[in-house]
Amino acid sequence: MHSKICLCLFACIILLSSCKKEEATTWESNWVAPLAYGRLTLSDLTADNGYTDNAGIYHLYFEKIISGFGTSDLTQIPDTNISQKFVVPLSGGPFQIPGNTAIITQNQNYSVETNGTGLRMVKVKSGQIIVHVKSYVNAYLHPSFTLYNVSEVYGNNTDIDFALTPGSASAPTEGYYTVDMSNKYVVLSGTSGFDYNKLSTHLEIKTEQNTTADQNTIYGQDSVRFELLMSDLVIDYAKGYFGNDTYSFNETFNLAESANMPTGLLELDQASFGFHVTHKMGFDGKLKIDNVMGLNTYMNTGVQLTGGNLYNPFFITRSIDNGGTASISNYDINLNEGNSNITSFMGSLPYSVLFTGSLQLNPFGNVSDGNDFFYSDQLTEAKLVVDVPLRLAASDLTLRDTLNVEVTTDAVRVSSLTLDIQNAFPMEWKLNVTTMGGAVVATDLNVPSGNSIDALALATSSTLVIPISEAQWNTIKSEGKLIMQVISNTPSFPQLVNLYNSYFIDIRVKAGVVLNAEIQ
Amino acid sequence: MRKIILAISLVVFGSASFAQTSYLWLTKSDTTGKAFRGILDLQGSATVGSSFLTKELVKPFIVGGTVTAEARNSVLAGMTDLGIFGGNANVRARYYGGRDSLFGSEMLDLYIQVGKGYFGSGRISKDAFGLLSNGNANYQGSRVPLNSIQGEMQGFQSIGFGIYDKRTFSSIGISMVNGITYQQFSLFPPSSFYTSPNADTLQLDYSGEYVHSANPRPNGNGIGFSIDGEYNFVRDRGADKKEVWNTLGIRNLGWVNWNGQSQVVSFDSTFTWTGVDLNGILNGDSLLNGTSGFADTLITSSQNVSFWRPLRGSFYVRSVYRWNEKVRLTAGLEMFAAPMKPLATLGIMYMPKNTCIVSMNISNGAYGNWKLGMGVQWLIANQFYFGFQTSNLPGYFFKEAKEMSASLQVSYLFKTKKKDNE
Repeated sequence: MHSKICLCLFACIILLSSCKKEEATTWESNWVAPLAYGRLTLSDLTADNGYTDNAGIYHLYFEKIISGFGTSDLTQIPDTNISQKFVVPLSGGPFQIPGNTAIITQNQNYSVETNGTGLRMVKVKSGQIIVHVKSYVNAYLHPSFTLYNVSEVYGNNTDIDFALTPGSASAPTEGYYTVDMSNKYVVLSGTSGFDYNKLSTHLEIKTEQNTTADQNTIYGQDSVRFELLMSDLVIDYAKGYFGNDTYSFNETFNLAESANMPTGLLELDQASFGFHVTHKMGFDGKLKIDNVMGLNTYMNTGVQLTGGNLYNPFFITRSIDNGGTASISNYDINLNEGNSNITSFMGSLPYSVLFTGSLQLNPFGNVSDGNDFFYSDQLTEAKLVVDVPLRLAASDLTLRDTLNVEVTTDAVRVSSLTLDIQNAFPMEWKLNVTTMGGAVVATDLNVPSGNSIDALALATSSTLVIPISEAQWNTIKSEGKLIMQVISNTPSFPQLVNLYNSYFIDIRVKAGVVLNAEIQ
Repeated sequence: MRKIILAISLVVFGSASFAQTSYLWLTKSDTTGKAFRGILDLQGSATVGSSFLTKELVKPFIVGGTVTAEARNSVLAGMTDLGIFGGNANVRARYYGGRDSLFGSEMLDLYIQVGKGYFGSGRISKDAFGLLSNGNANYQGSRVPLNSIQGEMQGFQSIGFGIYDKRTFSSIGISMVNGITYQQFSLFPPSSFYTSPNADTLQLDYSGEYVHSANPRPNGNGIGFSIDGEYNFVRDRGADKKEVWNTLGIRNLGWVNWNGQSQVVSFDSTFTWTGVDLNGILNGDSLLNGTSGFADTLITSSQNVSFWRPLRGSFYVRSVYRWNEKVRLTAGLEMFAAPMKPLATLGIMYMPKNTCIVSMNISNGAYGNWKLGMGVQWLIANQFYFGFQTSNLPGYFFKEAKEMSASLQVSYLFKTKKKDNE
């Protein structure tokens, strides 16, 4: 009987515990959710590279500062190490020299490297000069070193004193001194006052004042070595002769980088190009533009900008130093539809603009007698300006952009995208969507042209549905990106239409989502 | 003989509802109450049921696999408004004493018992279930209330004793309850999920609380008590004086004080999602950025509190009418706390011989709706009892079934004092 009881108890246990979950529970549910929304205006579409004129028409506007006119291009004082040995003007020995006796006295002009320019005076913004002295003399020495006309006060000197214990040929004694050059004037006209790049110094080496003769044993030809290290000197102001070298500039600025440049046919009207120089430096110059080329790397084409006096050299006249403020002179080259090919130039839809040219300094030589100057905060500027009023006609004007679709979960699968669109632009749009590998997700989805009347924006509504298969989704997910191509056409091409700043396109994107829920 | 039949009838009826104590050993009982020296009774039962969830849909949650759209849609089509689901699993061992007398009465004696049980139930509206199971694609332009969603689960151990009448097995007992785990999740108004007509706005209002005990541990997380009792009495009906046994009972009626480690997590906020700004996408943000941001915005507050909660008890009445020597008719009604519905039962028993019963009943209520139960009991050698019951036999055969249950009972009658009184 007891065995029967046990058997029944065992059966109870089996019955109550035999359910064991071997795999996860899963199910799919279908959700629809908004993904994105927004109103795109011309300023959004052009990454704010534009402005609106008084008539309400939007202008594409690009401005590019040409580099190459900075102080470092004209002149600089590179890190320099000047080393010189001074010898006791005696022969034989030993000599017992009492204290406070001068054994070496010398004035010295050091040549300062200035990248080929001739400087008479600079004001240093920052940097330092390190003076290093090394004594091989068996005596207590007191070297005094003077930097003439190096001071925060123009014309004052900087004095440096050392106290050195006796040294030897094998074990010299050393001393260091660091001069902070911030805001210091440095006169580089030498002891004559008419040289360039000459730093005047005075050196006097005495035996230490409170020493006795038996403490200072000197032989003829004993030496003391001085080193001058100029480090990280940044020029705030410079005066001299900057030479007549020619500086080239080769600049490329990318239009498509800031505003996705489309492809296709684009007719424009009244575009303009400007090259503007604001001269604020004390030298004459001859400026010449060699080439302005619009490059379309997608189409592998290039169009040169021509017209007017664009490629004629022109001279810029030195500024005048009005007690710390440089006078300003402006030089402009303006090209428009009437005097150049700027409209067709921009109509070629350049991705980038190549700009090359040169600037020759002082083409007539040192006519200022060494009085060229510049202030580091008042530099000459040159900039390119492109202004395109969006009065245009488009034929299959194609904008291509890549969207990031970063999905890290397998629990979500997008099964469709629905775009609700309100289009006020007087353009018909066609939308194509492909994967990075080129597989078509959607093609020729049509957004009708808006009904806007001049600046009055009147939108038309449309809904685009993009079904996405599971295979397509897996591809998109693995690639992490989706390519969207928008092809636009204005009515009756090449008839021009004005694009007003009031135009917009409202887009709401919602997704059909299959949620794969899983419970372990 | 009548006593034997009464006892068997009670067994069948009781088992058909919730695996109640089987008293088939009462075939040995008589009016003196000296038919046995003790009974060891072991029971185990498990039930899962619902007013809307089918076996096809629930099965993957138990054994794993995919919950098909067909199963979900079938369930949705069958729902009216509020759906109920639940289940329980219990084991219990009870020993009925066989002493000669208690408090000077030969008709009374003690019983002792230990048990362990888990109980869970919940409710959800049709729309909320449709939203959670199928998504919001079919709910564009509507707000789905979520405040219908509630669920509770409790687990406990018990040990207790009681007094019973050897003649009728009327009894009253009390048990000390050791709470193992308690979980309750409730959403309150205005909890809802809104999908705008063109699906450009989703809005989730969530207000509710999650109450739970500390993690289960051997010493338990709460302590309380429960009362079980039953009053059985017989009446003769009609000209032929056919007997009708009636029962009034309470089962598992009690409370548990869950300790101060328990936690009440409250939440009340709104999350609105309209997508990301298109300009951000044009500037290189991912098209799917921010779609997983809800967890970051879930605002909750929590506090540790001690609280009382009732056990899932019930009141019941039942009657067994002797139709003839081999056939009995049964009827009963059991009342539970919400969300469970009252359980009404009608049944018939067939006794091919006086130690064997085959029963069948139909019932409606508790977790689900209509169901067809069956059972079989057998008294072997006047000492060993075996019974197996199910409240819904089709649950084992049809994927559309909404309830499955099984209860197994074995009892051993110790050393009878006298022979059958037949």
